Amino acid sequence: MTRYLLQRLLGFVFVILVVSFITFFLMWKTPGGPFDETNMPLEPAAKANIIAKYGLNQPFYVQWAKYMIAAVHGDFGYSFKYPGQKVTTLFFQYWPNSLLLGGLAVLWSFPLGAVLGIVAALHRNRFLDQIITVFALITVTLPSFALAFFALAIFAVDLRWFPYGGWNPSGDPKTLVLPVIIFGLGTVGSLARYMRHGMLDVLGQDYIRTARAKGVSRTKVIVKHAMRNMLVPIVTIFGPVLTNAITGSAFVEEWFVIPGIGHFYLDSITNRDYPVIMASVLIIAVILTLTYLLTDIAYTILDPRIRLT
Amino acid sequence: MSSHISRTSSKMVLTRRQMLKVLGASGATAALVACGAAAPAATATTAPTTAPTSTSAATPTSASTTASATAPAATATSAATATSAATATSAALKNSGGKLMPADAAPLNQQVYQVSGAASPGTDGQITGSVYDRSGISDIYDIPLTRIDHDFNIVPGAATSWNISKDGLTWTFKLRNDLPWSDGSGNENADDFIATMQHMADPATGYDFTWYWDKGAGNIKNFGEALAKKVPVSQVGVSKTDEYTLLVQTSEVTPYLPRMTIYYMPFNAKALKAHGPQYMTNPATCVSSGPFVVTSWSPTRFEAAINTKAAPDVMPYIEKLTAVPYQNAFQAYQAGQIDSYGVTTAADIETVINSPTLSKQATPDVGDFRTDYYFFDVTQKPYDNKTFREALGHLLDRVNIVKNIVRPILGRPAYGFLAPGFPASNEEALKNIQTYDPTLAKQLYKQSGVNVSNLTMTYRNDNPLYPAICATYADAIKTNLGINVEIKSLDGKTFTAETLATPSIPFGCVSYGMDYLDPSDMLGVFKGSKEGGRHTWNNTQYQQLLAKAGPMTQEPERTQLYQQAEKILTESFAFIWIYHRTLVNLWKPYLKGPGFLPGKVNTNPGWAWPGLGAFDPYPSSFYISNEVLKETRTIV
Repeated sequence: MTRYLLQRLLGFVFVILVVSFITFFLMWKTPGGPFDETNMPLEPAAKANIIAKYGLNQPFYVQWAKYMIAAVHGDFGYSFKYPGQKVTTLFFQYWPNSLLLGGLAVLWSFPLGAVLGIVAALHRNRFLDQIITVFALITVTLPSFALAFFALAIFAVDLRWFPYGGWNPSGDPKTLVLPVIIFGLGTVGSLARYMRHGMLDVLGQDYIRTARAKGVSRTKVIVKHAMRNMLVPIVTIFGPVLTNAITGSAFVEEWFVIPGIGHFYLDSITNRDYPVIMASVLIIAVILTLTYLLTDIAYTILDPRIRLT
Repeated sequence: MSSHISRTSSKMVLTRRQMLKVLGASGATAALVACGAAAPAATATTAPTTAPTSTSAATPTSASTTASATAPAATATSAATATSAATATSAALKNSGGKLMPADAAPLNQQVYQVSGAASPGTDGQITGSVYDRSGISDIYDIPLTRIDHDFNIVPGAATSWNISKDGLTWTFKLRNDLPWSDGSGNENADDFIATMQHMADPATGYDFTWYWDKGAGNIKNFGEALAKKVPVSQVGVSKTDEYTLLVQTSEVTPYLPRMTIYYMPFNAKALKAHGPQYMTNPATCVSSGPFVVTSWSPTRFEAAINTKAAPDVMPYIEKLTAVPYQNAFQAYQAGQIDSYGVTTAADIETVINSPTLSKQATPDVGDFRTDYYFFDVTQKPYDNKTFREALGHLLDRVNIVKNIVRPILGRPAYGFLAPGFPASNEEALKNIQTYDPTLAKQLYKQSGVNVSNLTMTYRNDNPLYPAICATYADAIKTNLGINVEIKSLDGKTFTAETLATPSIPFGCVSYGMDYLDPSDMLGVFKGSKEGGRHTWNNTQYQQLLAKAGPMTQEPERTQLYQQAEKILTESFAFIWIYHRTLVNLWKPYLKGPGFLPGKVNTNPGWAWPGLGAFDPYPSSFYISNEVLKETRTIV
């Protein structure tokens, strides 16, 4: 286990270095910069001043190395888009909103998705199963921005049940309702489909048949034997869902005007806000890598047959 | 370095990669949906509103302060429709700044103006990373040197009068001495303007709007030299004779300078020194001499409140402004969460036209006299062949494009670059140059000797109508000349970078709107990329005409020179004019004030360009009338 963790840690460092280098290289190669020439071209002296101000006049690998050294020390620089604002300050201003949005979405969508999946499996090929399958397909295939558009058009513009965007968890909890629902819908669908598949798989196993043959009740078999063996696939899907919840949803946050890190990240790309792009990519990469590591460790706890080597 | 998970029984478990594929399906679907092209609109509708403005250059003048200090009279209509309770409440109502509200004003808790806009911390042009990247409620925290009214007249701002020296190189601006800064540190004065100009010229600032003040436009003495670190910023041509007399020196005669100084918005020199240019983004350090002060900022919400220390005529009626960057502002407008909206897409305009309510709230205006056009890189083959360019130019059916795609309410066919109403506009004289004539185009193509089978047309994806316009034009080229045209879209930054690169985008589609009301601004775009212009087309005669006309004050000679230049530009076929844009803004009917009254240029009621900002005198005089009580409105 220790050897495995060390290996993963080394892999983690390697992944972060590669991801950061590729991101930096792509930013460097992308036309445009932290300035605007929309109306008229910049004067050469003005461009030189801007480039010098942001330290972009050095070779990109030097910029990358400097950035990474500073990042290791917790210094992610200052935003180009929001002059005077530290990237870390901005990040921690945004992140709690993403965490709240993602947390609430997971809170309702994960249990519901799991229950729907199990119910569908237990009613295989019957009407309830078909309804759940269609619902799951719709929520998985419809992109969140389309759902957001229609939800806002119906519930905010036409019916006026909810505010049109905005984010005011303490002052107006109604601002949370639509984004939390839209953000969670995809998870419900994915999990329902996944759980249904997993449950059907488990229910077909010999030990389930044996238990039933020994006279154990159907409910007891499902709760005690099938559900326990479903924990591994639940953990498998919970990793990415959790990562998604922690790192925010760019589309949902944009549409509902939520100051979360998904919004932050999307804006930074449009604005060529290099320090923010780098910080966002690094943080997301770290969270993803750690989540997968934890998921793998969780496997060994839930299923002793699984070994990490 | 890869990890391995061995399991004795893994049949029931989807691998993580398989599972991610399942999750990824929704993302792929999203991308496909996002790629869908906008369908062109179908039929024509009402005509846009434009009217000629004066073509004379701004001459030295003297004027008295005109910003309104009196409450506008309640209109008969709004007073009659107001509820009795609201009328009774507002009869002797004063706002939190102590300003007497108009008789038909809504209660103070309704005096909140809500807009959709980037919640940039940049509250003034000089602060943000880019001058184009400002908040929806920027530029209202000080009073610029001059202002522009809704008839495009230059009117006093901080300067009550101005005159020019005999040699035409020194402007003297007499400043108001009654514009207090909100922190009690004194009045807005010459030192603030000097510090601001020096800040913009300072190489350490990294300011991106420098061309505006440098040679060829503002001509501020030593501005470019300071920028290039050849002289210290203290030698930039702004100084004072006393606290309220500002001298501005130019390197050449610049008769239109007062038109440009609507963008000369001063920092508070002391706050700038103490806190840097971001002082306004922090409510604790924000200082204002304008109608509002910043009260809170987050990246997705920006608020400003009444500046209770403002001069009486600057003091607004509105208690609070909010800007939230809604993804679909049109929906937010319909949901009653914002009070104004600028219509841009064919789909939105269709909704507006078909809605009895929205169509009454729509007011077309000329905006910033923006013109959309195609350009060619004349240094590249086959676009270096003028006859070939002419062939392409005669295939643009701008009348049909406006009628069926743009819709007449959102634009009018462009025969020249200067839109009707803009100084020196000469539409009638240019109408017969870039005609739509497919037969002529075919002949010219044969004559040109060019034989190509494929071209690439690239547009800047900031206008939702471009895909349909480009598809129509590409189809005309294919049908008449047999040339396939690939259409390519680029985001603004990439497009500009590639346009300015060598080689440039060979065949592109873009727009330009004025920065200041003078032909030197609009026509300066085409002075050649080596001279600071946008495009590779470089014509000596054109440049000479611009150079000669720039410092001239005599009319109509100056206008005639610019008209000659525009004719050369149009006959070059290096640029194919498409249409002049009309802005269609939606205003909630409860918004009142002098800024919403019809003007001579914009004859429709509604707050015309530049809209909310210190550039015009109206932020202090608009208010929410009690008609709001009949609306479903959400203050967020």
